[in-house]
Amino acid sequence: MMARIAALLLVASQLILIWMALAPTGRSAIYFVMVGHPLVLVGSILGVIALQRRLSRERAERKATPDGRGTTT
Amino acid sequence: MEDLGPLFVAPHEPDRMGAFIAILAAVVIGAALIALARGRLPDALSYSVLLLAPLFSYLLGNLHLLEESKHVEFCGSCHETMSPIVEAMRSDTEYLSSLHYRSGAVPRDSACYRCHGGYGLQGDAEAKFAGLSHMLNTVTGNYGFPLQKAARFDISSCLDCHAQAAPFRAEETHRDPGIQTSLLAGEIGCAGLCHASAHPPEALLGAASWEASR
Repeated sequence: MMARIAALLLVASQLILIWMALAPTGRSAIYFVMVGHPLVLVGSILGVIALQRRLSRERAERKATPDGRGTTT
Repeated sequence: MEDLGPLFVAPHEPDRMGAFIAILAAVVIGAALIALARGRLPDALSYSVLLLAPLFSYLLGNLHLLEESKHVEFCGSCHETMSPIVEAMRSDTEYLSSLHYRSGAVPRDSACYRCHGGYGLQGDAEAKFAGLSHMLNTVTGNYGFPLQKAARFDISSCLDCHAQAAPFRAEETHRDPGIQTSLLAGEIGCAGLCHASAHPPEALLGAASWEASR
């Protein structure tokens, strides 16, 4: 769920970036600075948290298997 | 503007940086949509595409914006406040901005920034911070007409071109020690006192008043 929210926030931030990059105006610059930056920051932080949680979960699952190598699926 | 032939068309470079940023952002969007559809990305791509690329694209975006915000078109895109000033600058008037712009004394693409950007790196930094405060004021509606410059105009911008110019040095008024001290201390300015104002007063009253006055 967190990864999906992060992906959505990043998509929104990149859409604003495309708008500003192709049509740099006062309006697009304001959205880029005041909306895009918070979106990309929150999206990145959520993405990092989601990745860390996934990696630690996978590590725990590997430890839980008898040979310590995890499942083959 | 009257078409006088190709010699009178200013050279124009295509915006490659903007296109590159847009492509990079499109790649990030593609990766994010794949992540959304699958629920996860391959590990090798996760950090680089989904986490580093958006931040890198925003870094490039900021550099791009710093450069693009120097352009006259960018300044004039704020319709209510700035478009009358840009239009007045391009018109044939006796005001300083128009005189400089129409004589080619300032770069056509970045005429506003040439005078309002101050001098040197500090001037650049101050202009960018001023731009940020303009953004805040625009969003919050914290501005009024007639527009007034919050800080005094930095005459270093004028002196950067004029200080070494022969006509400027030959002018008796400029040689007056008292005048020099007052100018450098910011007690008086060049425009509106000895020289014409930078912009017509009616252009500082907003787009509606500007349209009505024409």
